[in-house]
Amino acid sequence: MGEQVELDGRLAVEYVGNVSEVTSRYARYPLRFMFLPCQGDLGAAWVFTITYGGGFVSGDKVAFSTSVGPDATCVLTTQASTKSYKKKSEHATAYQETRNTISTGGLLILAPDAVACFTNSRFRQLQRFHLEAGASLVFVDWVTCGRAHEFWDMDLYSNRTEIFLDGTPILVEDMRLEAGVANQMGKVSVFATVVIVGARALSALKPPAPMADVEEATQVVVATAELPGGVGFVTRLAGVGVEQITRILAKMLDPLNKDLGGNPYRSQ
Amino acid sequence: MGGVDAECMAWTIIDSGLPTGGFAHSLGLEAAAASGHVLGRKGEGVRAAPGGARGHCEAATWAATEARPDAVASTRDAPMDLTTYVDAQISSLAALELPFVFEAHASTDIDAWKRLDALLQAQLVSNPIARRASATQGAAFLRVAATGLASNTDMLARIEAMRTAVSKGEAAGLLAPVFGQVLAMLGVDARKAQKMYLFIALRDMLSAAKRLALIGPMAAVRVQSNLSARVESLAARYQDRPVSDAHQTFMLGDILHSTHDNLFRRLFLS
Repeated sequence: MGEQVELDGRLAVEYVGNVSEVTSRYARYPLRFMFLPCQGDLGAAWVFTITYGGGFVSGDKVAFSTSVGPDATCVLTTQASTKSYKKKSEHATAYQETRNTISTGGLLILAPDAVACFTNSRFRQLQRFHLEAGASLVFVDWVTCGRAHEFWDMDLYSNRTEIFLDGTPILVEDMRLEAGVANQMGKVSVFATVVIVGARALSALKPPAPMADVEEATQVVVATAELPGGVGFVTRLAGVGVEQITRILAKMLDPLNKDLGGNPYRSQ
Repeated sequence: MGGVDAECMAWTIIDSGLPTGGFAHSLGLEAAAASGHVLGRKGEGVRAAPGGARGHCEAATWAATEARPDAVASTRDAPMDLTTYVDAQISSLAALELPFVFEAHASTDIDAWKRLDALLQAQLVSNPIARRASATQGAAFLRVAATGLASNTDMLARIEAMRTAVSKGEAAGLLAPVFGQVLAMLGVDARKAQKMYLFIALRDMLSAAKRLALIGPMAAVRVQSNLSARVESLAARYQDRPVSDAHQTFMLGDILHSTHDNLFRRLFLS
């Protein structure tokens, strides 16, 4: 689905002379990219996406595409949580769309900070991935209940993910939270989804263990499912506190620290 | 087929005696209750489940907390009550699966049905428990349709073709698209089919709640009659939508549901 939106940004990362380089870049207001080239043993390209104001005000629309070439490695992350601010008018909805293509042998690690849904905000997102056969992906997507005193009090959080491998949809998720959902959240203030696809990601990363005892299980729920054809797995986390979920995400990605030269979920 | 026949057919299909195995599924209720995230309504009592699945003691502790007058201040400190859970789960089911019932009802083409089945499979990837439950019930529904409901050879041939596709692995035979196809063949109109789909899910969840001792049989009737009005409004809201709009609304419920197989001891298949 998605709308016919013009792209506000384009990124291309290619493997050139033993390192991954950003070979094409374009961004216009309100989007900006920051680069950290040649990190870790793999010479990975780190890219930080930044939007002015650190988030989305109602009516903002941002769309960008990322392409990761054969054997290239790209870490795409943020510097702080993406805020979905209070809407300005009744149905003004902020919209973000990302289109990601990964070539055979390429690895994209899309590991942003969480989206924080402020009171009365309206946010829609579409994230679409096209993987060639033999491409790899680490995709983290998470959302929190808002600022400290807020609890799922947004007007709309609508989040659709589509992942295609060699043209076949292997995972489609579409979650929409509307005003009035707070009473369905129990004590949970953060949800995370981690999708791992392809040999380069699977050889390093394992799903977190389910919480062993009842006390822990009331704090964090962990559920992992295999993707069709054994091409990867999806882990979903529901947590009472953001810190616990951050720790689990950091631990999941730790095996790649040396290769990537860092971990998006550990302070550098 | 005439209107009267379709009406009687609808009654036959919503009869809980129809052997489609719905009684074996709790739509995530068992996992949610065991995790301590759901309890029975205040005054309806949370009793230890038969067999005492672990985690029910946790629910009982929360129930005790809820009884303290000072402890109900915020939703963050209390788990959901049963009605909230059932309502949220049925709403999410409506948003996700009614479009599949609707589109499957609209087309008699077996390839269109296979496409719908594949798309719903992709949308259930992160919840293999729900996918398995749907496939099991879809297969049972096809079997009942073939042996008990098919009224002519043409319908029988079409149902057998679907069963063959499932046994060959060309489709998973998930319940919503199967239900839409079969009800169209039986002459039940699309809107009624969508409402029936929700009603059956509601009925099965409350039946599971009774057997999990989360609610008594009388109270369950009250909850069901109250929520039946919700079924009407949910059907009105989510009916006749394209599958491109299919989405979920109950994030916590879906995650808890997908942990079902981790339960130490369980009464239900899902």
